[in-house]
Amino acid sequence: MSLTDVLAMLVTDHTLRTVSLGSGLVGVVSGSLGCYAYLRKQGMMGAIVAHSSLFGITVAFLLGSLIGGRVAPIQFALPGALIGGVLSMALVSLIVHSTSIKVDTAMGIALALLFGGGVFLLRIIQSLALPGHRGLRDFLFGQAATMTTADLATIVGFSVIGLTVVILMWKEFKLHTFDPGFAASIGYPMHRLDQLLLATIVLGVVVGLRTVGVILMVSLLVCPAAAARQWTRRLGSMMVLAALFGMLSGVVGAVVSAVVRNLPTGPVISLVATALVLVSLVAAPRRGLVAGALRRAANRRRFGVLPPDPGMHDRAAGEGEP
Amino acid sequence: MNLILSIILIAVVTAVACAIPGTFLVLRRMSMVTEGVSHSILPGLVLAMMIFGTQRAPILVLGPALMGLALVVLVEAIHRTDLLAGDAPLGVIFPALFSIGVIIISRRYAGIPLSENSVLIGDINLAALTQLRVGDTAIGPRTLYVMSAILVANVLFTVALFKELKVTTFDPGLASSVGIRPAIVHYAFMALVSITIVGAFEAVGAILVVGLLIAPAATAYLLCRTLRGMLITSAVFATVSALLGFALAYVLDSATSATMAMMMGLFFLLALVFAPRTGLVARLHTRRRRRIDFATTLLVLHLIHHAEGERNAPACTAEGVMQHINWAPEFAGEVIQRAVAEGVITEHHNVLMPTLRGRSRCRSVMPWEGCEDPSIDQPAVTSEENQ
Amino acid sequence: MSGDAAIRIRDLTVAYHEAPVLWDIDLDVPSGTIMGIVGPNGSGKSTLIKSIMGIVEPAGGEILVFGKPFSAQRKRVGYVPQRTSVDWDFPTTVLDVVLMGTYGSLGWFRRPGRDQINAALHAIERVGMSDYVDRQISELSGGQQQRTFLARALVQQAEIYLMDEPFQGVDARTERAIVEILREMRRLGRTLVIVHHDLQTVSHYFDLVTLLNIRVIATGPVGDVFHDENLRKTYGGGQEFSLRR
Repeated sequence: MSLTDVLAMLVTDHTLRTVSLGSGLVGVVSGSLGCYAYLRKQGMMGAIVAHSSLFGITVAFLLGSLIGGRVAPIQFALPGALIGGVLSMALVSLIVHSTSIKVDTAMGIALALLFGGGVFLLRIIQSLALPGHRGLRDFLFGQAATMTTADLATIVGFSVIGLTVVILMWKEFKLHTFDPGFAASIGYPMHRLDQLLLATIVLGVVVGLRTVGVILMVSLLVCPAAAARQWTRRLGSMMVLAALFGMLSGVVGAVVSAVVRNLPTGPVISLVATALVLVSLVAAPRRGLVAGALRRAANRRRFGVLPPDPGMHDRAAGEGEP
Repeated sequence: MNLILSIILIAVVTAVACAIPGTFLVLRRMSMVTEGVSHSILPGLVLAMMIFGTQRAPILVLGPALMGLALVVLVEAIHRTDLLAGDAPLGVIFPALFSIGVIIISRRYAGIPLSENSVLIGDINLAALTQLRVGDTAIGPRTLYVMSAILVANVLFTVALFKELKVTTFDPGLASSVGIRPAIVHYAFMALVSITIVGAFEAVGAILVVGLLIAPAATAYLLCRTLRGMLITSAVFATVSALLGFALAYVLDSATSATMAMMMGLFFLLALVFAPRTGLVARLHTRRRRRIDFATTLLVLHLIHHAEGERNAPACTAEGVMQHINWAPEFAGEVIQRAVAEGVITEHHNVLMPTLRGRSRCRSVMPWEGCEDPSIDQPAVTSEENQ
Repeated sequence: MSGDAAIRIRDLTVAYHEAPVLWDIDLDVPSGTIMGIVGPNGSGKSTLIKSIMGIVEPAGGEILVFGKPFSAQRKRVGYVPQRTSVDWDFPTTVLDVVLMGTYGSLGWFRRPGRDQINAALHAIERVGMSDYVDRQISELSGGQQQRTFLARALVQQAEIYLMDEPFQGVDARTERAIVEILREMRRLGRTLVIVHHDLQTVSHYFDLVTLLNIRVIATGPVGDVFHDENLRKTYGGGQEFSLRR
């Protein structure tokens, strides 16, 4: 199938349109909210939140099956994932604050308990062959091709909430992330802000679980932000760029996996997102590796020796000035 | 060998083989590196299977293990560029490697005996069924032999390099100065961790192995004070979790690997809440007791300062204490009652006075306060006295 | 010393895990003065500042800012955290950081407007950073970072400023420039409380000094209390401290 065929299908094919719209929106939301995960240096926490949400998904599915009623149990999955993700963050924070265990180990424990628990319940659901259990498989590696209009509506709902919070709390989140001590001194409620910000990051993870899957969702959270950081010097432009990178990853991944048979969506999205990071690391102006090498070469020509790299992290540049 | 016995043995041996290096991973703060290594061996395993077939056990372990080590080196290299913040180098690289593995499996499903499910959670039943053959005789599950060999290697490595591991874990600077190269120990250890993860892959999959490595060691960390004790305790918890996990999974028809990991997490929660000394319950208890103790000392000190020179000052009444130290009435009442009961203060006509015992208590808690003789070492000129 | 106490601390005790970090602190900072807080590492200097701002919860005692609790006087107090306490690779510019000084008066959800930007530009000029308004903060030298923080404090338009090691890691020229600005602030009636490290400069920079080591060893005019004996009490008898060069 050629590229023009795919583009034509995007216009004519209802399913493909839904899929690319939904995945693109997922990329926008995860990419922009992921900036906070990246700047707070909590990228791996994103991975753990995604893995742990499987526990919430399966518990919600089981409860949904028990209650019965007209709503299919799978519809409870995303709210359940949200709770599972928040639970993992709460667990990690409880462990870190009440013991001398470090955060990375606390994340490993959350993984054992919540991902282990999630798979434990998933297997039981599969053994019982509860109606609709096949839909849960999509949460592992993601499956955009089966996205329905109802799924799209859920994604839109999550996106509106997530983006509204980020825009409303723009300066509060920014200051709290950059300088929490100063933020506290002017009266920002440190713990409340922290909780709201973490909940927002969880939202950025959960929104994409159905598309990317619990295993690889961390890519769509961290990679767009990491790539965007290389090109910009302001939080605003970083977030816009991360949203664009996220959208690109989402659309390309979803369309490719919908068009090619036997290709789960998550891995494709993850690879596109990582490729964007690698390109940015190499090619970005000022920060990029090529720019750094050129700068060093120019300095060598000018000074004949190898002076320290006056790159991004050279605090000595302009010392004593103005 | 009986199938159920095989499964139980594989579960226990795998759990213990993971728990031993896990102890050092926890102490070296490298828990999340294992999340990356465990994901990145998948493409290595898939490629090795494609190239060498599925029967050559040593290559199928060492090949992917090299991939795990490659991830460690790659992540460290990206980290050194300083271009990506925090743990982002890891979060960017490992999903991509994992994705490559999953895509190959999905596209060439027929050629490789791996499914998405077994990638995630392993297949301990299949592992128990796959027999190692010498000539034409089956001599037991292959995985059991592989994991037993890895367990022995881990134990030998830990015993042989105990001193080196200990020093590089707690004080890399000292290690260098006594001639131990932390980098060599680091990479040798990570190579062994990679091999352990590859060996465990068949039985427990790529993700749960992180739980197997970390959770028992973290539980032991809460309970033990010595490295040796931690190693033994984590092995015990690993064994018990493996047995209980198998039993529960058997009864409820779930996955043994996931149930094991969940058990390890539950044991950690139990230790977190109930551990003597460090558990939440014990700490809540001691914290409350110490808060009152501390407040009592604070009260005596306050009285010492205000009783000298300004006897019967309003500060030395219950109301004065509440106002000056800014305590809530109930709390102040409780502290005063306690202080009187312990004989560190006396109460006469509503005026509180420190006793000799109170002074000596103060001095034992705060040696530099000089509570015995207030003329020495009293806080010097305050600007109040200065005016 | 004339004027009311800008900050009045009585019986302040702060404990961390039931071990005292600050013990029974009585301290008055008169209005319109510069007070230095000195003491060894772990003597509670930063904790003292943080408890004045209510960031750290005290185990007992009372802190009044112009006669009222801090929470009622928040807008009259400005804060300069330790330079090393923030991530200087954060994607933001000098102007943006200085604008953060206006967030307190802006309140929730509102964004800085023209007035705030003008105030920020003015403050940036006062600290001599006008050429660096749009500079990414990761490209600043230590001295420039500190000037940026000082400009942010100026924009707060507070009456009391609490500063945590404002001279740490800055070049000599910036240090002189900062001292000049601090003296000008005092002329305008501001009260400054400064955590400080370098004993040699204490008598040049401050009117008052507090020697702190968990408790207050001495507090008062620099000429009265800043002498060898008090320093020995503060830093321990083992080391010899001499102010004479």
